[in-house]
Amino acid sequence: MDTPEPRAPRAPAAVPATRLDDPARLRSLRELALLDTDAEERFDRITRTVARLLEVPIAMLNLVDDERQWAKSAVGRPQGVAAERSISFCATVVAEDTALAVPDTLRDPRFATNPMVVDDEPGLRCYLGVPVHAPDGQPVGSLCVAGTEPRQLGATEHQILADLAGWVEAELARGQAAALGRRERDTAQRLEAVSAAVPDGVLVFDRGGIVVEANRAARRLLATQDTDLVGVDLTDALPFGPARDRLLALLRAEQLPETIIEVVDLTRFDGTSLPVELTVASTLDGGGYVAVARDVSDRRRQEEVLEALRRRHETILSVAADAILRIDRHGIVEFANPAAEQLLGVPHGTLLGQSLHERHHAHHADGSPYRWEQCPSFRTLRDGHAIHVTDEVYRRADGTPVEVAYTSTPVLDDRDVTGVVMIMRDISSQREVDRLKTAFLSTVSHELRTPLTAIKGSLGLLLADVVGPLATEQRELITVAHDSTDRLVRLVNDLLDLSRIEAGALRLHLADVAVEEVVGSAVRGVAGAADAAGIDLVRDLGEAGGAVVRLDADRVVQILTNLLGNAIRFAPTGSEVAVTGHVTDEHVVLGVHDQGAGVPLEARVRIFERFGQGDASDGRVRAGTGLGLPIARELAEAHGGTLTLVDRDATATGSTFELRLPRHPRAQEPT
Amino acid sequence: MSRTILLVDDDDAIRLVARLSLERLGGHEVVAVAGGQAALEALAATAPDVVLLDVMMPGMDGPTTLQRVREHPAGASVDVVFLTASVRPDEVARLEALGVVGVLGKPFEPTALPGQLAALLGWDEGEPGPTPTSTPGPTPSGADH
Repeated sequence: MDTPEPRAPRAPAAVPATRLDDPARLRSLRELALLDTDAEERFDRITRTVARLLEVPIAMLNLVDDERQWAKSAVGRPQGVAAERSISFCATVVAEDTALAVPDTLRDPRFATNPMVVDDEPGLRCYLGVPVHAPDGQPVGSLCVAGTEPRQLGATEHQILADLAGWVEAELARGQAAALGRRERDTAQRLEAVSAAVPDGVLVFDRGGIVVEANRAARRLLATQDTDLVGVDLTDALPFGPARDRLLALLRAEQLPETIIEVVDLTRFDGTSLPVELTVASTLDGGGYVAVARDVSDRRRQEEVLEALRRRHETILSVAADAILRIDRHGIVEFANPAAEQLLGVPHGTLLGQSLHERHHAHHADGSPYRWEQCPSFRTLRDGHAIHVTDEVYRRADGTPVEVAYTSTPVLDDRDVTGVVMIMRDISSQREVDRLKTAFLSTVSHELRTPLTAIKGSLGLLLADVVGPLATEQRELITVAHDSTDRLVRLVNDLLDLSRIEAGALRLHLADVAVEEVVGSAVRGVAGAADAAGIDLVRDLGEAGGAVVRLDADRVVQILTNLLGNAIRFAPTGSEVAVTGHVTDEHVVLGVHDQGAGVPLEARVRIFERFGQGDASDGRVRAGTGLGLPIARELAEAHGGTLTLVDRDATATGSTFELRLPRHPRAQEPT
Repeated sequence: MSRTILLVDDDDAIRLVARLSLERLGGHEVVAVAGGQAALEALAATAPDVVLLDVMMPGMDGPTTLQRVREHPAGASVDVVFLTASVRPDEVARLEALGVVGVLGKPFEPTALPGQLAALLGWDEGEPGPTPTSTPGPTPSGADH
């Protein structure tokens, strides 16, 4: 019954294959899970009993699969021994699903040439086998006996073998039931573990509303540790509240159209409540419902935080006095705060989706077309640079212009410019104030100058002897009055200058000018005064002389005239006042030196303050207004430059004032 | 050679000072009027060599008067010089662009005024006054024309 070595030529197939290869039979065999397993006492005691009762040397329980027989239990042969199906006696038993008795194998044409018969080992001469069935009735093997001598195994032996095959079948059934139970238990345990582990509360209830299943999370969500929810009616399993109402309504509706998912408040047994996302579906068999509740209080809290943040930002944007707009990469308005709507004179909400440029910026102040490609917001979109604009006109919805200053800032999304935020301010009133200030200053200037012109003119005519010769004392007094008038005129000029600077009405008229030229003009202007004071004016500009700087010539001459005038007034007669110059990478530096007493330490800061001029220590009439240096410094700074008093070292005499003017990058170009 | 000057200024004191300066020191003949309308009326009879015109005047201001003078048959080509207290450079530039010979600032030095006027108009016979360097205030400037 076993063939350790396959042999050739193979004996002809003695066994029909139809039943043997039936997939249902093979599946039943596999499900027994006995093939290629160890010996088991529950089967061995059966084969031992068979061998003893029938007094045969060989008794076996063979299982037959799609290619062999295999001994689950054997007496007189090794357990686990296998033989090819084509030479298997037991395969015939299984194939025909009936007992097979062969009293003398050599005399049976089906087996006379079978290797298990003709070979010395095992040299079978008689055989009796009965089929063994799986619990589902499929023949899966054979309980058989065999001997090495011919023997008639009759009805008695046959009956004993059949009874013991029944015992085998009982063992098979018991084993399968145990396996099934194990599997069910495993499945149930796995389900319970899953159900216990999921964070969602799961409640299964039947159509009558009785809870049949509730997991740990369901008890946690309901804040009930001890209560066993299973077997309880829904009306008792859940406290009064929206979630309970919802489930009971579903039950009453009898038919659940489809899975329902909604967020609803779940009241808990401790009186608190939770927002839960409730999913309700019919069970597969339609006999009840599964309700899954997910705690969404975290999500709700995040939403509330976001909402609070959004409201806060909206409040800030809506109370902002400046217009704030966001446009997308096509210039379409995505956001506009109330100040923007007010500035542009449009009803609330109507800016959104509109092209800001087309609607409100399509023309320059003078009415000429303003192309979108030249609009600062377009350039910000294209280049990703913020642009500040102070002199443009937007138009309100009714067509009236509004003077604005605005900044156009790119909105960057990972380096891509996805839009522009524009912060805009209506500067019409500010401009109007500027215009009024300028007009007021012009009027004041005129009103002050007119009487001064008359006084100065009258005194000048008297001194010119136009109405007759003057006595000496008369001439002295009128000279004092005349000179004081000159001083008053200068003071008025300085005050007006200062007022203009403060009013923001100072406008520099910039042009590219050779430094030599402005210095020359200032020196010529003070030449008479220097002569009169006996001062020698010296000029040594070096390379600074040829430098061309973008400046307001009148204003720089005014600065230099002031410095030279001061130097001449404070220098001793017969001394020298020098104008020097040099050039650095960034500046043209002009120095004005005198050989006077110098500025006392305590006055060095004060001299740039209004009316903070140094005292005339030697009693000479200084005739300054006290505003010259403050104005000169303001003018220097208006040029982007500086005006300072140079620290002098102990050995130096006099004072040096230094004017630094930035060299314009285009200074070398002809103008 | 004596010239005829039509002086237009609303301020009595300035008219007096300027007239005395131009008559006594400059040796010219001055017809002084107080406003634009009077200037237009005096224009034909006076036939001035130059109109010395104030800018800020009540009623008809300097630039308007200039425009009306130009429209007047006797004033189409007469030389005009502004005499103004507006001394801001941009304001001076604006006035010069209106088609005048030049702009003189207030306050002026009465002894220098005849010379400054002569210099602007190219009169070589005028008595030059004291040097302009002793004159504070705006720098007088000539205009292209």
